Amino acid sequence: MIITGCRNLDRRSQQALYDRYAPMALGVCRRFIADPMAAEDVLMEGFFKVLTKIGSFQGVGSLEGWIRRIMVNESLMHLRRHNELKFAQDLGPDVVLRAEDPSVLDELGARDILGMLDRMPAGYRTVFSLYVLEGYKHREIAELLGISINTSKSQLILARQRMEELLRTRLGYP
Amino acid sequence: MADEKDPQLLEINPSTQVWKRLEVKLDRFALQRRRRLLYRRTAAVAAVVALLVVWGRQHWPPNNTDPYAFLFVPPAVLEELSPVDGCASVCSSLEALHSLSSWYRVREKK
Repeated sequence: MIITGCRNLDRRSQQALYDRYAPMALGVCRRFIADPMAAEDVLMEGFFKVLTKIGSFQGVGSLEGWIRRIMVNESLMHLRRHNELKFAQDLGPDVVLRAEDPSVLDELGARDILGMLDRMPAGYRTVFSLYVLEGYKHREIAELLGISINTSKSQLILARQRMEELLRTRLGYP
Repeated sequence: MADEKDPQLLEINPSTQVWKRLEVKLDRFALQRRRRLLYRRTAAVAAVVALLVVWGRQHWPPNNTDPYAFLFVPPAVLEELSPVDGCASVCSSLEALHSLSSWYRVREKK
């Protein structure tokens, strides 16, 4: 019903869709973009795309998933435009393999992790958000960001290490 | 402004300004879309009129006794043009004109 209305550019339907999904969409944007104002700009651009291209939504998969993907792409575009996507050097393949071990972060809830994301560099935050929170695979992240799979894995490990440091500082451990 | 009191929330309510800005952008988009549609329709009608003029020049002045021959556009052409955006009304007008010319022809013969 709402989707049909949006396809006909009906303003009430558009607002209903916005009201329903905007909080989720802004949550996605904020995971990639630390600045709240910039995240709202990205939300607006992303939702403009959602509302004007809803005709191309085939109904395959959920609407929420479709909106999420648009928000992720829009956030990445914003980071690229502002040259914020800088990745640290790759770790060796042996380090990458060893780091598959469970860490203290696995014990944390999503909400604890989200609070620390703002204090991480954009490169770490992006890979971490894509992998841990959005459920992308390293291969998909590599394609999306134009980096190697090894770089994606390295960023994730470094992001986890940085998060563990932040966590230790927060909890007062040496 | 986003809810900054709890940055850990999975869902964050955007400020009301975002929707207002989005509405302005959507209005502009709708206006552009209407304009594009209007241009397309105008272009389609202009094309039909141009076709008519060419047709008219070929058939006017009439070298036979039928002064309305130029109004006749073959049904196949009309069928071709009818689905074109904005041409349907022009085509139905042409059909009406053609019937009218047939009626005149019959009347003049009498």
